[in-house]
Amino acid sequence: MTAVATPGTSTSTRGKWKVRLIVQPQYCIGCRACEMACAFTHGTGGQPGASRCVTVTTGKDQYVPMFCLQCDHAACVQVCPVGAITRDETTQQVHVNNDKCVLCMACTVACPFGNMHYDPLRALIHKCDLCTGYGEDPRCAMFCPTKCLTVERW
Amino acid sequence: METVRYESAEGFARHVNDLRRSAFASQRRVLVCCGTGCLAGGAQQVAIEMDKQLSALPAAKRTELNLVMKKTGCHGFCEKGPLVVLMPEGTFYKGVKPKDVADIVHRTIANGEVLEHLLYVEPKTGERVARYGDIDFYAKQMRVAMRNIGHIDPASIDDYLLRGGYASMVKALTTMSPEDVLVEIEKAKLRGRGGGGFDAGRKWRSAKKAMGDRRYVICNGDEGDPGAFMDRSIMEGDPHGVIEGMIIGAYAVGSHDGFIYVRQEYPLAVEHLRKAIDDARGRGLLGKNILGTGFDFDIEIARGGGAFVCGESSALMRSVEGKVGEPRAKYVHATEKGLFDQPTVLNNVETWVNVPRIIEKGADWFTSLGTDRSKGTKAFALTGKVKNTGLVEVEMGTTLREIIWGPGGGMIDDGPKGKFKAVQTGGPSGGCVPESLLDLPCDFDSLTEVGSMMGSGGMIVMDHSTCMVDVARYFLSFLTDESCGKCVPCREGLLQMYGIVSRICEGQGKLEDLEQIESLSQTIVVGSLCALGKSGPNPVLSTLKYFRDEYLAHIQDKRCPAGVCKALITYKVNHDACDGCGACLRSCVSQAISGTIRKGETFQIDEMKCDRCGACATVCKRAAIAAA
Amino acid sequence: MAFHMTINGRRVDANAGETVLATARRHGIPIPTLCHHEAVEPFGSCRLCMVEVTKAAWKGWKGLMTACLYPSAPDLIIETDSPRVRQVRKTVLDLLLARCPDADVIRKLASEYGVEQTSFVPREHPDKCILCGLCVRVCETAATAAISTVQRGHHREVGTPWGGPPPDCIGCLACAHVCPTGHIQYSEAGGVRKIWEREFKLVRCKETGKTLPITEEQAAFLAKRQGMDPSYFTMSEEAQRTRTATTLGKIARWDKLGLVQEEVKS
Repeated sequence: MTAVATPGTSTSTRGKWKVRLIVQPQYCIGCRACEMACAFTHGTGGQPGASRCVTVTTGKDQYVPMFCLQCDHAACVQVCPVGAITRDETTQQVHVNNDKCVLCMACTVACPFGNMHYDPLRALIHKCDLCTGYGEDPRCAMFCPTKCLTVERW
Repeated sequence: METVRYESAEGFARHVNDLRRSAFASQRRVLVCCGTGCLAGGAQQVAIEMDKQLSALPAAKRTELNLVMKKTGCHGFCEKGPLVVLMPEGTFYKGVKPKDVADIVHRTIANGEVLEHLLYVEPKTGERVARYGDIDFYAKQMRVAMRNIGHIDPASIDDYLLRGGYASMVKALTTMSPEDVLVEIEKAKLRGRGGGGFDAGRKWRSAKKAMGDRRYVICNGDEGDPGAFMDRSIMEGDPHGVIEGMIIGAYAVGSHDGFIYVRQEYPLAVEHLRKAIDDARGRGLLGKNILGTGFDFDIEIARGGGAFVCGESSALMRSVEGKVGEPRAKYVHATEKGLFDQPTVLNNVETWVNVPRIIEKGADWFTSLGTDRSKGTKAFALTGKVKNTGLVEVEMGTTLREIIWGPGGGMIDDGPKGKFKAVQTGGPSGGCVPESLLDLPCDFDSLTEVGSMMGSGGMIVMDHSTCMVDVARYFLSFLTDESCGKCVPCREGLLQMYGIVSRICEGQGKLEDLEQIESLSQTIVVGSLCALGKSGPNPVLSTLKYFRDEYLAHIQDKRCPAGVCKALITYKVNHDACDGCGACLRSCVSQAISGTIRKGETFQIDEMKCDRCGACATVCKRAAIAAA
Repeated sequence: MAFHMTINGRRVDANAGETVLATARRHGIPIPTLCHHEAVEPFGSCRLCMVEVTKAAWKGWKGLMTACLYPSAPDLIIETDSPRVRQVRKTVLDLLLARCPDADVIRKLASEYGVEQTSFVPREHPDKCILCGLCVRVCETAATAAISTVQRGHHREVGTPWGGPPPDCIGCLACAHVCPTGHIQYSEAGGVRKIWEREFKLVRCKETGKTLPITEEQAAFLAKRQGMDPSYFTMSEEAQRTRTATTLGKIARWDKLGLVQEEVKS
C-alpha cells in the first residue's frame, strides 16, 4: 500500500518525534490542496510562497504528488559546489542552506526526480522540508482530502 | 681559500684560530665601499682602478705592503662616497674618483702620506679629519647592528669569522638549550626594529608554544619606507650577521626553515645574501646537522615584486606563498597561523642582526644600553637638510637634537630658510616633530606619544624651505599608490584625503576641509585592516597638529609660506631694482613676462600665464624678481 | 564546546570556532555586512560589520574588530551598535557612496546611517563595483577561479587574464548572484548565456529539447569536480519529475481508484 516514505524532523509540537510523509498516489484526485497548503505555509505576510510539492498528471484521472524524497545518497548533496546542501542523519532529512547557496542551479538539474525547485520571484532554491520549523505536521497531509498524503511518526 | 667544512664546534674553533694566525688576518686592508650608494657614485670604477694600481706594483713592494683590497658594504656615509678607508690606520678618504687612486696607492699606501684634499671636513670646525674614528659622524655612533659593515668584504665568510662571526651561533647550538636561548632573548627585552616594536622574546615564545607541524622564521627585508636604507646596508654589507641571527632564532623556537624576503629593488642585497648562504652551507653552518649537533636549518631567499604593502607581515607571508600580497586581519596571530598556516616568527633585518650580539655579550649587556622600555641601539637613516646624511646608529634614548646636530652635523643651509623646522620620523606611518620637541628621546614610545613614531628608523630633517602641507600631500600620494586596496577606509579614505590636501596645496582649500580631514582620519585609523591604513593619516594629523597655521595660510590667505606650492606662489617684479635688461623675458617659456627693454618700470609678470618655474628669478642679476 | 559571551548587554551562548558574526546572527542580532557570504571564507574588506569588543581583563580598553573574522571567545563583551561603530559604518558608507553613487544597496544602507549624499568627491565615471571581492572568492570556491582582482589601491578592479574574456569561466553565474550591487551583468536569449564577454550554450533536455538552467561547460565541470556521472545533467527538472511520477504511478494501486471516487462523490 505504501508508495513512498519520506522521513523528517521533529518540531516543538512534534516533540521528540521524527516524521515521514507517506504517499499513496492511487488516492490522489488532483485537487492540488497539497500545493496550496504548502504554498501558504511557506509564504509570508499572508501571501503564498512557492509550493514545494508539485502534483503531476500522469494519465486520465491519474495524479502523483511529487516532493523531495530526502534521499540517503542525495544527488543534490553531492553536486552542490559550495556544500550548501547537507543531510542530517538524525532526522534523515536533506536541508538547503539558502545563506550559502549561490544559485548556480546545479541541484535543480542533478535531482533525478525533479524535486528541487528555483523560485525566481524570491531568488531562492527550495524543496520539501516536511514543514520543519513551521510548527505541527506537514501541512499537505493535513489538507489532503483523500488521505493520499499521510504522516507517519517514528 | 680551500673549502673547509666544520663537522663540530671544535673543528670550527680550530679553523677560526688558524685563520687568526694566518697571513690573511694580518694583512693591511684598503676598504673600498661598494654599497649601492657609493656604487652609484662610481665606486666600481674606483675599485677597478685600485686593483689595477695595486697589481701594477712590483712584487717585492707588494709583499712588503702586505695589503689586500676589500670591497665592503655600505659605511652609511653615502653622501660622501665613494669612500676609501685604509686599515689599520683608519685613514678615511671621501669623494674618491678613479683619478685619485694612483695617488692613494703611491703616496698614502706606499709612503704613508695623507692626501688632504680627500679628507673629510668637519662642518662645525672646518677642520680636516684624517682618521675614521675621529669623524663625528662615526665617533658619535654606537654601532651594534652595523658593527661589521664597512670593515668586511661581505662576500668573504672568513672576514666575518675574523670579526667573531658565527661564534654566537656555535655557543647557542652547542652550549645552550633552545629554552636557554629563548630566555636570554626574553631577558634582553629586544623589541622589533621594523617599526612595530613588538617584544621579540614574546613573539618567539608564542610561536614556540603554538601547535603546528612546521615552524618558520622569516627575515623581513622589504624596507619600503622612502628614505630608509638601514636594512639595505645590513643585507648588503653584513649578510652573515642576518643568517647567524636567524639560525639562533630558529634553534630557539624549533624551526628548520627560514626565508629572507628581500624587496625587488635590492638586487645587490640578494646577490650578497645568496653568496653568504652558499658559503655558510658549504662550511656546514647551514643545512642538515649543523656542526654535528643534529639541528637542521636552511634559508631560502624570496623576492618581492615591488609593493610597499608587502612589508606588512601578513601580506609578506602571502607573497612568499605565491599569492597576491594582501594583508589579512590578525585576530589569529602569525605566531599561531602564519606562513602556510603554520607558526611563524617574522622579524626585521636589524632585529635579527642584534641576536648574535645578545647571545655573545649577554642580555644584561644589552639591557644596560638604551632606556627603560627600549633597550639596545637603533640604526637611523638620517636624510634631508642635514650636513651629514647617512646611516647613524645610536643608543636608544638619544635625543633627536643629539642625533641631528651630533653625527648629523647640523643643518645644511646657513641662510634664513635653513633654520630647523621639523623632522619627519617613521616614514609614511610616522609624523613630523617640531623644534619644541627636539629633546625627545628616540625610542619606541616617546615619539608615538606626540603623534609620530620611531618606525623603522627613517629620519628626514626639514628646514623652512619645506612646506609641511606639501609633505603631507607627498606621503598621501605614496600611500594611495601603495595601498593594496582591499579595505574601504584605506583605499577610499586615503584617496579622498589625498584629494583634499592636494586641493589645499592648489589654493582650493576650504576651512571645512580641516574638519573633514580630522573626522575621516578617525575612521581610517580605527577602521583599516592593516597598519598601512591605520597609520596612514599620521603625516597629515601630525603636520596639522604642529603646523596648523601653515594649513590656514594655504586655505585662508592662499599663500604657501615655504614657497613650495606652485599654485600659491606669485612671482613679482620689484620695479626699484629692475633695470629692464629683459633677461627674465627671454627666460620665460610661458611668455608670461612683458616689458620694454631698458624701462624697468614696465616689466610685468602675467599671473595667469606664469607656471611658477622660477627661471626668471634665477636669471635676474639684480635680484629684482622674487616669489611671494 | 559551548560558552557564554555578552552581546549588547544580552548573555548569549557561543560555540568554539564560531565568529562573532555567526554567533550574533544565530541569536537574531543584526550586524550589517557587504562582503560576507556563507559560501566563502570571510574577507574583512568592507569593514561594515565592525563591532566594539572588550573583555573584563582589558581594563576598559575597547577594540574595533570585524565581526566576520573575530573569533567568539568566553566572556567577550560585544557592542554592535555603539556610537563609535555607527561612526565607522557611516563613514565607510559615505566613502562607498562616493565610489558607487548608483548602487542601490549602498544608497539604502547609507540612508539608514544618515547619509543621503556623499560628503566626499564622487568618482569620475563610476560603476557599481564596491570591490567586496565576493565574485572572485565565490568563483574560486564554487567554480574555476576564472576571475581575480588585479592592480592595487584605487586602481584595484575585478579583472580577467590579460583583460580578455576569461578562458576558465563556465558561465555558472555564481559571481552575478553574489554581487551585492548587481554590477555583474549577464543575459540569456535563445539558449545562449552571455557573461564576461563570453557566450555559453545552455544544456538542452534530451527528452524535451527545452533549455536547462546550466551551461554545457557547467555540466562538464560539475560532473568532473563533484564526481558524478554526466547523465545527471541531461534532463530538465520538469522532464525528470514527469518521468518519476509516471514510474511511481505504475507502482500505485490504481484498482483502488474507484473506491476513492465513490467516497469523494458522497
